[in-house]
Amino acid sequence: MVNTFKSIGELKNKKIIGDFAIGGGVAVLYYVEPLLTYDLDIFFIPVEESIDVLSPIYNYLREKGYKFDKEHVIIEGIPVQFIPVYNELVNEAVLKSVEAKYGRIKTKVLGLEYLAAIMIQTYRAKDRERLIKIFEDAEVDLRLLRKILKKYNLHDKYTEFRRRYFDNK
Amino acid sequence: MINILSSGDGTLTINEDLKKIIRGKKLRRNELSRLPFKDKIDILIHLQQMAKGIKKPGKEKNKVVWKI
Repeated sequence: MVNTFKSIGELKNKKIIGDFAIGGGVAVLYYVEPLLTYDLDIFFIPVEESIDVLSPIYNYLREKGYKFDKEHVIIEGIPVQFIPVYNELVNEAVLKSVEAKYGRIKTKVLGLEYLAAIMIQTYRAKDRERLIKIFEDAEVDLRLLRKILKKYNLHDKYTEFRRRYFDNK
Repeated sequence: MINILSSGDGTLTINEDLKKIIRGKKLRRNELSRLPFKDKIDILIHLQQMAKGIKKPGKEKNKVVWKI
């Protein structure tokens, strides 16, 4: 895992990607009790606008000898999926990501409130399941969350989620 | 023994014992939430090992266990 984070960090140091942060299941796991997930999602800001922002990443990692499995690159034993920021919310979430320590290694993870807002936006079954865990187990800054939701017009969706799973508490 | 009591109007309410169990489970989850990131990843790998071999209907193959 240390070497996985080092290799991902190298991509930024070599200006192949811009800012990045861990998202998805591993980001949720960072804030709540351990849960089962199988890949490491890395949200990143491309260094330049291009139709194919993934090629430079894949080329670099291929040259380093890493293998590919469908949409994942297996970096030091871990399937990693690189996801370019695909809207304003995700872009802001990456820019405002927080530092996370894995042993002595420092990396970035999406902030809890941004992570929750992204899951409210995507709202797949697994997002709803993870959102329930977040609201039950983590200390969410509700003021910050509401600010983000308002900015990205997600408040109605959030209210519906609360009504459905938390009796609007 | 846990009694689930009727409130009299047909709806069920939970008694104090059950409330304690639920509180205890929440405390445990909160404890686990505060573990260092590295410890959580170690637990994740154990979870992946435990789930290895369980094939979901319609899925081609099992998911891999991280090799770190």
